[in-house]
Amino acid sequence: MVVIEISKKDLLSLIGENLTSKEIEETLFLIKIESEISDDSITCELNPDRPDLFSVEGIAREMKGFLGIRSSAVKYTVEDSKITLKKERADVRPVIACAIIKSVELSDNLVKSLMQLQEKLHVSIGRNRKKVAIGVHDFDKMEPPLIYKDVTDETFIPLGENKEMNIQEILTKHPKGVDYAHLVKDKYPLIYDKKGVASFPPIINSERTKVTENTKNLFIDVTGTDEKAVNWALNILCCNIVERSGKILSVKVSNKKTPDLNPNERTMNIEEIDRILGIGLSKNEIRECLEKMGYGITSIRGDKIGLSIPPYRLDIIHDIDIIEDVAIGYGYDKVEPVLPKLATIGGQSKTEKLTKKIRELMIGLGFQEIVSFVLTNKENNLDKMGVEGEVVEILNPTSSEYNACRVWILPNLMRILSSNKHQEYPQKIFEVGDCVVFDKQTESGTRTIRKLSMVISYDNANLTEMKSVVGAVLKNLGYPYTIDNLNHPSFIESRCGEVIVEGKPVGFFGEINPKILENWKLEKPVIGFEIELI
Amino acid sequence: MYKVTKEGLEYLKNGLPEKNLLKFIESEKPLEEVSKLPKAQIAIGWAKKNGWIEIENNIVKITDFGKKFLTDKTVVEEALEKINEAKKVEPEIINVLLRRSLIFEFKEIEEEKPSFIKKLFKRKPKSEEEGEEEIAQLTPELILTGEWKNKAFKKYDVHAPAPTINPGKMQPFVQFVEDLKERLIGLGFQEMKGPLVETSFWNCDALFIPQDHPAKGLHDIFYLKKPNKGKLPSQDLVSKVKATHEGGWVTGSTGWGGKWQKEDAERLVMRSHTTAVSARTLFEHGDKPGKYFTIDRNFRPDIIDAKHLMEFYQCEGIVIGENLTFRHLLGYLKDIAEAIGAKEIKFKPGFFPYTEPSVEGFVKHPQLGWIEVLPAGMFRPELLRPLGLEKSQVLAWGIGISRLAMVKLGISDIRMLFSDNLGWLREMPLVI
Repeated sequence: MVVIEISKKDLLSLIGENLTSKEIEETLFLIKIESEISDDSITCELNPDRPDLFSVEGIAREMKGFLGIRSSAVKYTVEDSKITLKKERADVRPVIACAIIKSVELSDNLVKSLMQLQEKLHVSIGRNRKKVAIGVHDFDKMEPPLIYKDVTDETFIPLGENKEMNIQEILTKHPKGVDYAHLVKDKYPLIYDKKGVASFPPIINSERTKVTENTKNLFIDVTGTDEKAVNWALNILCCNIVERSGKILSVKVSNKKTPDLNPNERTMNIEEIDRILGIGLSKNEIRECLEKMGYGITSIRGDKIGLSIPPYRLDIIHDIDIIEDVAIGYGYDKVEPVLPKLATIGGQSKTEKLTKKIRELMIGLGFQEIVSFVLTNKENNLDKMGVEGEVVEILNPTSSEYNACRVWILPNLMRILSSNKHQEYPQKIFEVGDCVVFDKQTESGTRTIRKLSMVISYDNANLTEMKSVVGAVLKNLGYPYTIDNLNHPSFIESRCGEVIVEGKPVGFFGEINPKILENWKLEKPVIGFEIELI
Repeated sequence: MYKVTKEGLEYLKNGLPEKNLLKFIESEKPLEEVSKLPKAQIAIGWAKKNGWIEIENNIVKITDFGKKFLTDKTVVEEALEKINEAKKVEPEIINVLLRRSLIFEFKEIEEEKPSFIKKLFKRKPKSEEEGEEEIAQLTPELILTGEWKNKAFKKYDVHAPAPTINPGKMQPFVQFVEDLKERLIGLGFQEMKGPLVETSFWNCDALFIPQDHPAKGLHDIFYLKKPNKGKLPSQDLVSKVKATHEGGWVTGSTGWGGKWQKEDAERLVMRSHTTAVSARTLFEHGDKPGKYFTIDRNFRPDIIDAKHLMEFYQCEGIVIGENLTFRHLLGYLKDIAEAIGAKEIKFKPGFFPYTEPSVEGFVKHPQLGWIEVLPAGMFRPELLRPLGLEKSQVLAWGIGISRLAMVKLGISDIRMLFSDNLGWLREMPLVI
């Protein structure tokens, strides 16, 4: 989610119509934007797929289309500035695209919106400036020739400073340098004009080319590692700025003029649209929906529709994206929900069905059900039970309490007993839940297993009582089982039995060793039983 | 109307056990000594619950808060006195007193309509006059010999307190989940299951989530340290997924561009969404029409507090069929909304990397107002084709159910869904 704040007055003046707050909110909702309006401020929650809406100008353009205030797609004309940026060796951020926007009225609203847009583009499609970084300059303070190249050192006055700094100083002392130093190493990409350094992407611009209230003409540089993302960001910036005022001029970068604001032409099958939506739209209705969403319709012939996709919509990667736009243009509020004729028989999975039956059995035996976390740590799951072994471990835990997966549930039940010592006894609790164990045979090298675990604790808790429960559970599960003696470090020696089903050990029960009770600060006897469900 | 029980009357006369405990401790005493007091268990339990005492290294200490009650009357004492004088008391306190069996509910029997019990006793006035021995416990012997016919039954005081029972019960959150499952099965959905640990391949790549997607970072997904690398499924599936990511393969998409890294897909993760289960189900069933659901656990690197847990449940559903449309998706969402108790629903266009068209269903909740609970969409061709679906559309939705469960259970702290408080679990009535 991307959140931006815009001014209601500014939005309405860009749209050129007066709408109530309720109308604004409802319209935004239908074009994928959640909003909250208080006085003049509109807080918009946007989806990451539409970075062109990350500024008030983009939102106004979208609303004008959706509300039918503008009837055809916006066409962008780009004049040639005849200016060239020479790209020399630039390995760090190999992609660069530039644009000049002339005769811009630099109002407070535009400055605020442009800064916000730049920041949001950096975070979203820019992947925190790694993929895309944007620099905006006062074009009149720059003088050709423009050169883009990697250097090993340089000295200039970075934006917001009053003295020259070298690259190392910028990367260790300047706040932006510190934030983004990890993106450059050994070699540093710089943009030069005749007078020196203009920009040090993705870190900082020069103070010399700074945009001020007197700026009339803007120079925009976008650098990065991905050509599509770089062009997308530049297109959005140009299209959104000129929604207010100004005209766009291209810059020649390595024999290619940027920005390229020609619409992307595409032909698709028109039948496919309603086959997916199921609304029953005519060709004409489809055309209207698409036009509302800013598309140009170049032709409808037979079952083919020719479209021109606006230059700020590089999110369109498949026909299905256009189909969604048809639905949005039509209005999600107007689509009538209907159920298909698809008769199927529902049912539970085998594991969950068994779990449900066991749960009922345990409740019949008078046990209270517990649900606890799968995540735990080795100390709680093994060490405190006196058990040695391995657990599946997490690389990026948020707490040392939860940095591994449980291999058994009994320790969780011990923890619950120890935090309920003031509650009435007897305490009989159980959990049926998942554990994760190592298994080299599977894709993940682990296996999720479902286990049943239970404890009985009170002054006179004893193994005979649990043995009866074990018998009741196994008999009702229909497992042909035998019981053997078992030495297990969690239990008192010679007071522990292993449950064997078809020759395989599946579980065990026993009286918890007082040494283990002490680990959990428990003062009453505890009898436990744990079994893997098969 | 309520009356004080025998135990309550005793406390009125001799003081509450927890209060007597405070007086005995004065400031601090060894636990061993304190435990010898009459009703020590009850006293320590309540004093601890009230925050009056702390026990450390087997020494019981009165807290600053507890000191106040060495002299002040407690709400329990005040309430008991009031009830004994037949005065009104706040309902919350009534519940506490009822639970402690210090009071009981007393209903006056109307004289005009004698109850069954009264009739029973009216038939046997003779034996009382004759002063014969009364039957307390009816025994097999009395029944077999017929001797009971010659004796009166000792009057049973139906108002006398009986010991409380802690029945075995389902955990409240499980009850909520089971009810929801029942609704979905009723709608014809078959339950699907998947493992808790997945390769990034199933958790992300098979869902057409780009490898450099911001939501794949260490702040959003738990990655595994041990084991740290998994195996990819069949070479055929992997190469289709790779081709789709890089250039769209035969799906009609441009793909995400760049080079798809096998190593990234091999990383192991704690499943971050149940959509991974859907991907496996689609791969298994292909174009075969069907409806599937799962309500299961997922993981995310949150810090635990009243609003966040690192384990959470999602309710995921998919519908596979050849002629399914966006309208059908909205139809199912409306049905699901009803299944979770919402009467009204509205739809907002949404975005998820693996669905298009995407929608966010907002439902009007009786307590919370309009809330977004139904993220949904139609799976993208870039997801379906590599998994082997050639002709079908797949409708999909995934609900985070924690918030709905909290409202249903009447709790405001999300940690209570996994509560380890046995007292609360025992007292919580059935979730109906």
